[in-house]
Amino acid sequence: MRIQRVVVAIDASPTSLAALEATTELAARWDTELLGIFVEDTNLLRMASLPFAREVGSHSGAFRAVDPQDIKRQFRSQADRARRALERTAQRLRVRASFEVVQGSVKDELLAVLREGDLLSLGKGGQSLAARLGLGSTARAIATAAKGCVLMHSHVARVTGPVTVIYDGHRAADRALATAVELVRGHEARLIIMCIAATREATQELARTASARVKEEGIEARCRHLTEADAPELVQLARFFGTNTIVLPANSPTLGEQVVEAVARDFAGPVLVVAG
Amino acid sequence: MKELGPAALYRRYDPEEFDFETTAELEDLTGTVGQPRAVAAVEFAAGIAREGYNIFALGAPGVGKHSLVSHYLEKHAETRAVPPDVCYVHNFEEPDKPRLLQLPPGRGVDLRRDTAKLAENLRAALTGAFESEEYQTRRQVIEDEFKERPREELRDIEERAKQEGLVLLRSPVGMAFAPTKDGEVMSGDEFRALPEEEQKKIQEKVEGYQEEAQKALRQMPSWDRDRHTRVRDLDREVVEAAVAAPLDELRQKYESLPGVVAYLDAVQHDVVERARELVEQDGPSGEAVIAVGPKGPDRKASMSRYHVNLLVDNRGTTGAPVIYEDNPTYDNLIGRIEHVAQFGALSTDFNHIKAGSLHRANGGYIMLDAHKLLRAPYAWEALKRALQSGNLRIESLGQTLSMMAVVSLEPEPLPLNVQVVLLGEPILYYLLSQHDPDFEELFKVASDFAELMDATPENVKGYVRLLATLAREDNLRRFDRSAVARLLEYSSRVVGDQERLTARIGVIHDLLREADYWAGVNGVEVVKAQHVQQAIDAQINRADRVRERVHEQIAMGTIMIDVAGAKAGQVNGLSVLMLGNFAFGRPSRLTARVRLGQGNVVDIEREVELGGPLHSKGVLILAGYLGANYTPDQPLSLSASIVFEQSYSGIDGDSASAAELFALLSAIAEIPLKQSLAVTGSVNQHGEVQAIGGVNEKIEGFFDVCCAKGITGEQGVIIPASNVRHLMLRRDVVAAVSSGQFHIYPIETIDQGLELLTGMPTAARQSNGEYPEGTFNRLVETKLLELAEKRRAFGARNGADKEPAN
Repeated sequence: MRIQRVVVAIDASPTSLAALEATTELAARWDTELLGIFVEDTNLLRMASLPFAREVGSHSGAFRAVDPQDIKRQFRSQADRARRALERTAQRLRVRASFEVVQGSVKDELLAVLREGDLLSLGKGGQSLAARLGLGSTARAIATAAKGCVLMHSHVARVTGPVTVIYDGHRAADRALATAVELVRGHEARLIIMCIAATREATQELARTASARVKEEGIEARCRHLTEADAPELVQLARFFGTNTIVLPANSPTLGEQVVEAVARDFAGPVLVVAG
Repeated sequence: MKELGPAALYRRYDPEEFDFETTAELEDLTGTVGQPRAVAAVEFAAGIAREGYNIFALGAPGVGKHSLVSHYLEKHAETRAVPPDVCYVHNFEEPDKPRLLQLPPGRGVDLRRDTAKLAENLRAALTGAFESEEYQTRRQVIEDEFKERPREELRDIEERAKQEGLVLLRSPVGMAFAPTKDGEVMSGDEFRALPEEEQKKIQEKVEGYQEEAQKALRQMPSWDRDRHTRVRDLDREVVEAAVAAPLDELRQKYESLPGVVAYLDAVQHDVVERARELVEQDGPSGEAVIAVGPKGPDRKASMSRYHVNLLVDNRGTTGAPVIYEDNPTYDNLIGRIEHVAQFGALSTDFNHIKAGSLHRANGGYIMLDAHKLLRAPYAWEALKRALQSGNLRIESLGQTLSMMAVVSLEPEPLPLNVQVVLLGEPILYYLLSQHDPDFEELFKVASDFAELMDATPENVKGYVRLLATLAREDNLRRFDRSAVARLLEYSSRVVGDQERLTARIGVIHDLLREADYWAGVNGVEVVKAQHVQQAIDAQINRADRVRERVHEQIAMGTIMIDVAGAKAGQVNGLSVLMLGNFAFGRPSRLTARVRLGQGNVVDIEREVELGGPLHSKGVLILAGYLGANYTPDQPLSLSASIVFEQSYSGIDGDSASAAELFALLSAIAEIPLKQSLAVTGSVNQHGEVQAIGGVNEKIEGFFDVCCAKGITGEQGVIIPASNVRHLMLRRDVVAAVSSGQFHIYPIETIDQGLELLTGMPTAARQSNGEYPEGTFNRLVETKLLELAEKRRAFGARNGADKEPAN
């Protein structure tokens, strides 16, 4: 699947900055435009306007009173840092980049910006945007709604190899496979295809199809057969193969929302969710 | 006065008296020759082997201190036990204080090999243990359990809040609860529009959830601790199982060595504690991986901590060690701790401890050159400290002087049991005795090496065997008995004594090599006397440019020396010039002038500060002799000046005092002295002539000048009779004496010398207190009395009170 544009949601958190670096690398690899976007979450502004508004520190557990001005200042400062980080990285990697600040609900604003064929990149883990939005479910929803893909980064953010793709033969899985091919192409990275179907025979059939498809692209892949879409098993297998990045179909009937959520949460490396 | 015959001028060794043809027939010398005192001292010290009984072997260079001491020490060392191997290992409790392990000889290398192998096996065992499916699964179970806990807690709170119309919002730095309206977070205005009762209710609910969230968040560190404990327990269990077998095997192998077993126990404990760190941080080569953190490089544990640093390996050693440290610097003696630069910082560990020669010599002997030791900064202090404390403590100089702030180690000190032998010149021994209060306590035994030995038949026999041994050790040609005889004669000449031989074997050793060379040049297989002579001549030829130049100047008349005729107030004195190791004699014209004066004899050399104190002393003795011998009742009423003519450099020693006295007396009596004779010898206040040094060189010096200016048959040298035994003259001089061309007169008194030089009788005072008429002494006395009379008359004219006291 050809990625038309890379959009990176930045909030100046460490994972988000790691995501920026890795995402800019992808944009450079695919020679696409890069859009950095910073969303000023209106929900937070509303919360801060409440007379008893206060937040609990995620590490200290201490209470802190907040008001809308505090939040706005934080937004401005964060947006500024995010823009500078984007400019620096884009310049270094010679990528065309632009930056936008929007205000609203994060999910709505991201959906409003995204176009078909876009790749949205988010940080995951800790207090990252993806974690705040609910990881897999949001990624899945955004990917589906925008007909694009959502890449969730951890601290170890570089997208290299090996790449493991979950394949169940549906349309979204086809696109996931095509995207995985794009990720490994020219990278000499290994591709592992986990074929999921109800029966052993069906997985073998899927493996044949998938292997033939990637072979057309000049890529050798290794197939594994699974008769059940169990998130912990998927993650463990991916670790066993030394996987760097997992590619998942967003709206496949085989993988439920919970599986996508669990994989996104438990796998330490980048997770790419691709819409059908 | 009777002159000396040729036999008295030279001690000849008759080759016919030797019972061998060449040195090849002689056996090697197993002991030593001519150093019984030094040998007894070394044997005593090596035998007593108590604290403080270290040896200072003092003697001139080349007397064979090193070979003699090492010979006797090696003999003693053979009977002593081989000392243990010395290793340093990591101290797991205090890493900067490496532990010392001493093992039976040969076991050190075994332990080093075994531990290196163990470290290798441990890496594989640990990696295997951590990668095993059993471990991975159990670990995952723990991780999952603890990962879920906070998430579930918060999810539960979030769910319940949602039920009550609240939403959990996550901000970049924390989380907050807010009421919702139609799925959106309620704004402040909307909230205030609510009835007060409801506002209060919402606020209470929000605060309630905030507190719940706070409680949950505050529990996280303790959950994290629990997780860590569980994981650590699991790691321990798995690692203990993995490492027990290889360590048990080693414990069994070294069960007779409790120190090693205790160390292996410590290794096991450490591996279990640090297994994760070791697997994650160990580089492929076993070197520790350095992680650069905000506080600089952080050295992580590596497998090399389980290695054994073997400092002293006594495998295959027999007896106790005898070590000679050629370069006794501080580090070379006591060992050092090396550092490696990592990321700009210097770091080290026990593997970088290097042994010093004291480590290698422990349990035996170490020989050191005292001069080198004293010149190496802080080496002497370090040696003393080690001997005094009985412990060898490796400290860098920077540490000792508190000059360096580099992270370093304090290795456990090695108990020291070593006997030190310092080799040096006597002056060093005496200086240390006088100025270093510790010296006598630490070096109780002086092994005093003589510079010469008596030429007894027994010593001569040993000496000859020594020559044969040296020739064989150096792969030199055989020396026939004529060559050996010539070598012995040369040895006597070196010490200037017919009855002695030099103990400075180095000098004779050089001559052996050089004679061998000349035999080679002449294409013969056996070294003969002529080759030894050739070597001696070549040595002289290489060194005697200055002598030739001086003699040339005398022959040309630039330096004025008369070797014929007679002159009053003038005599030929003899001096010796030392140029490096080469000495030669040079005649000097000594003159004296007298006039009426107040009894002072002026030493012109002293006046211009060219004369040393001994020379001045000799001249003052003359005045004493003169006054007491000739005018005991009258003031000495002359003023005399004595000078070494054409001497432009310093002069010292009293060997010219007899000559000066002759010149002075001749000047007083106005009786000429024979210029064909030269004089050497010192004189005392009673007119007795005493022995001097360098008699051979002095005679030869005058002989050479006479030859250059023309031998008349009258020429000769007057020497003190007590110097006769020191004569080892050149063959040409001996030949000239044999043929009556040159003469050597030994004298005991000044009178005997005067008779030779003036041809006049001297005679003692008669019973009437006067010297007999017609004697030289009478003339001197008369002259002095005249001078005294003149002085009295002079004093009367110019004020009688100005009588000086003499």
